[in-house]
Amino acid sequence: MGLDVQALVKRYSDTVVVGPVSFAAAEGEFLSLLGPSGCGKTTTLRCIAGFETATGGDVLIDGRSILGLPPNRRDVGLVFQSYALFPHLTVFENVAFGLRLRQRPAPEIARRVADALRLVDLAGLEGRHPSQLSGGQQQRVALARCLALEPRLLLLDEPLSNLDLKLRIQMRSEIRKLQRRLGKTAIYVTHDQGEALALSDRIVVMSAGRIEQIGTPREVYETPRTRFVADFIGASNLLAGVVEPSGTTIRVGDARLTSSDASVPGPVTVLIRPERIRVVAPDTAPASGNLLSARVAEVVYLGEDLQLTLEVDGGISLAVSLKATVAEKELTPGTAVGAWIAREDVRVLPSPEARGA
Amino acid sequence: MAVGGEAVRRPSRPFNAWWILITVVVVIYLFLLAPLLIVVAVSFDPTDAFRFPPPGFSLRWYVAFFTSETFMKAFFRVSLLVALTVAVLATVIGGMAAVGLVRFLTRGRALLETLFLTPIVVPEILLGAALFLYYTRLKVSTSVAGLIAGHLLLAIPYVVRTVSAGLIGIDRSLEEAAMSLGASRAQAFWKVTMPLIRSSLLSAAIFAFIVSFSDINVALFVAGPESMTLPVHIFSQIVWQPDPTIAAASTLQILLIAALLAIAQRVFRLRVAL
Amino acid sequence: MSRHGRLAVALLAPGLAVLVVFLIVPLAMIVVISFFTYSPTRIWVPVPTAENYGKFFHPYYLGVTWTTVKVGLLTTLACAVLGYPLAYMLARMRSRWLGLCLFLLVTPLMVSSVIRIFGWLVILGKKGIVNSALEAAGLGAMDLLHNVTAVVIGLTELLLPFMVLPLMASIENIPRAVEEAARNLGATPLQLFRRVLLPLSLPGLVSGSLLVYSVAISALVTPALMGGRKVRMLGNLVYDEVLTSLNWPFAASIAVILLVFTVAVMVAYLRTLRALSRRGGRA
Repeated sequence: MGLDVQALVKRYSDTVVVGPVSFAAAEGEFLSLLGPSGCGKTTTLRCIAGFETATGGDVLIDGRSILGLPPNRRDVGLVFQSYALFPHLTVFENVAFGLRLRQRPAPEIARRVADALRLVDLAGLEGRHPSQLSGGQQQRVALARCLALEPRLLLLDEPLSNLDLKLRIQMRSEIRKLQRRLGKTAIYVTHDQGEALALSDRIVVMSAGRIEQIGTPREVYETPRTRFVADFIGASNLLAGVVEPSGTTIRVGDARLTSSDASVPGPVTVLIRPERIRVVAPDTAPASGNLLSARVAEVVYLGEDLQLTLEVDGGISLAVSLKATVAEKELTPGTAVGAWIAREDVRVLPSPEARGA
Repeated sequence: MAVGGEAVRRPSRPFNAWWILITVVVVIYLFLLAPLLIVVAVSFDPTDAFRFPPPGFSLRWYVAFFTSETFMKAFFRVSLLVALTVAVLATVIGGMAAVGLVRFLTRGRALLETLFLTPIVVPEILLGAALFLYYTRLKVSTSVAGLIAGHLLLAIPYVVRTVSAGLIGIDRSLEEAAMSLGASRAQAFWKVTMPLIRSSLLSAAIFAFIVSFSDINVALFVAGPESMTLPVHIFSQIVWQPDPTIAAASTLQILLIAALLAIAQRVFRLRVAL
Repeated sequence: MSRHGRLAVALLAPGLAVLVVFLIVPLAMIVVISFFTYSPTRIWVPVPTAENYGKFFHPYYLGVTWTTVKVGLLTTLACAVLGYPLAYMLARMRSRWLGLCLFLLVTPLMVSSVIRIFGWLVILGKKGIVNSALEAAGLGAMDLLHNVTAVVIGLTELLLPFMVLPLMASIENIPRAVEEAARNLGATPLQLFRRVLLPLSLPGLVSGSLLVYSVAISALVTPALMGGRKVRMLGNLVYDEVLTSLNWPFAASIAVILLVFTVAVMVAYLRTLRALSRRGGRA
């Protein structure tokens, strides 16, 4: 069941909240809509579900437009952020709700509810009411309630954001396993980039109602195409630079860097991931790549990692991330070090002005 | 220009069902407002044939109203006077009671709160009948004072409820902050809390006024010839001599009450009072 | 007693005094009088008797009671049916219009019932609007008043806001997401109402019904003006016995019966209201 969103636009009076936005999900694909609050990802999801009326564009499932259908006839399952379980019904009745509406015979309902509850690992809790369940259990009931109807498409609106961290990590791998097993196309809305990276086949990064980039987690992390994506996903050093007329060097402050990215002369944004910077002795002579001389300004111990701030000669600050197994004694504030960066790890992104409003 | 708007989200409606609902609701509102609208329309009818829509426009019934001694007395010397008195007295008495209940009572609050709610639980006609028999037994003749007492019974529970709700909404620590700056308890209350419940008091007063002015059930029993309120006079006119002067009187009452309600709604959320 | 306690007493005293002097004592008096014997010359003599209550079981008075209950139930039903769509709409409405709609809902309530009944008389009376239209259409005038339907219409229009407000509060407590979940799972509006809205708004419905019922059964002005001789309710009975027949012991006994019944209903109403506000409260 492929989803095709074509030039979707949503407008409130004269404010464009979403759009135009276009993306497609293949059958069985797990696609995340990722972005900060207010970027339009939930509005997009609700347009697909039918709870927002699109102002323009189209949404097709298997080649047929669903925008003309009311929300109760679209055959897409929506898992709400607040779960929205029916408080007056038991777990069984919640999951059976859609089946009862369709007047399926009782034995079929019992079977499908049992299957759905088994899928989410909640067998045995049929008689409970939502108020007697924990957050994680409620979330699973919400999921089972959708799955019992075997919808063509699964929509999930930040389903894990009300859970605590450990539970969130556990639930997200369960959701992913379930989705893979059932082979259902899933659209997942989240503001948590770690979640998106861990779960998705592809990520749609959104900001201010527009799509910044669509790509696999690796693409989006390692080759972000805009400053926003680079900044939003993972930690980054984003430096203003100018590509020199020769086209091969980039001037950043007083330093000169070389990059494997082809670039046109002019102002750019340079991206260097903190974990890609190697801290070496200040007088090492590297074979290739970039070596900057710097001084350690700050060291923060985070258990697993060390976060360093380096002041590079020429007035640039770099954040560096190291594993704490490195001998820290040499890395006290004030120590002179060398920062080595491979050419592939210097990414060139268009500067914000170049993007155009 | 693209601007994010997640927080502004307004849900979409199921197309047809919502519009059917709106139509039904509009019809129900028309039902609700029909008698009042008709009364207003009829008050401008130059004839006394009670036609709708009225064939012309005339103010003759308003003239009749303002020149009728009985109507004028009922409106100004009884209803208005009683309502203003009740508004002031009920607000003071009820306000004091609310303050006592919320701020100073240490035990038995639930019981006393219930006690102050009793007049609401008793049907108005029974309040009226009981007062009537009571006054007769005490050989007290019908008077404006008796009416005021009856209306106080109707109004005080609402005042207590409104002002209590307003008081509960105020953070105790404001008074404590004032006291830590040197104010006595009474000063802290008077200077800090009182201004903050001003809107509750005002809306309670308006409510008390309206309750008193439009009361019919108590007044029917307790009012005498010297204390005949406007609603009672309208009632007797309907029974004995219906003519559109009643409509003029009614329209003026509607305007008065609607205006007061509009003010109260600005000042305080209306629903809490009911 | 602590200073607080003394201050509390001082603040509560005037209100309590009003309640005791003008409510408790008169009501107690009524209960006492209901057991006295009626005397045509002196209205009552303090001779204890149960005959006033006994008189109540005469078929005529039982008939009046039945009319009262019937009108009460019909009014409550009509208010529930008409009130639900209104309450739902108000509960889900955007706040820009809500103020105006609440104002339009509450204003008729605050205007004296005589005025509204006058309006109904103009609409339904012998020479009123509807009849004029019927005459113009050649169908002849009908007596639209002086029956139970007219009284129910009048009372429903009067008491509708009492149903709508608690119901609205109840519906507001149902998260919109729950409604959307039901629609996402395939519910039509009717199914949504029957399976989700109705069960979850039941407390508000019960609250509103109790309130409407208790006010309807003690109605006086509406049945008097719109029902006439043909529709007599307990309120009319009390009025006549007190002010016309001057049989005060009997009037007192009717009052006591009505009082007991109404208080029971109102207490139940206040209980459900408290339960509603406790369960509610947006997260």
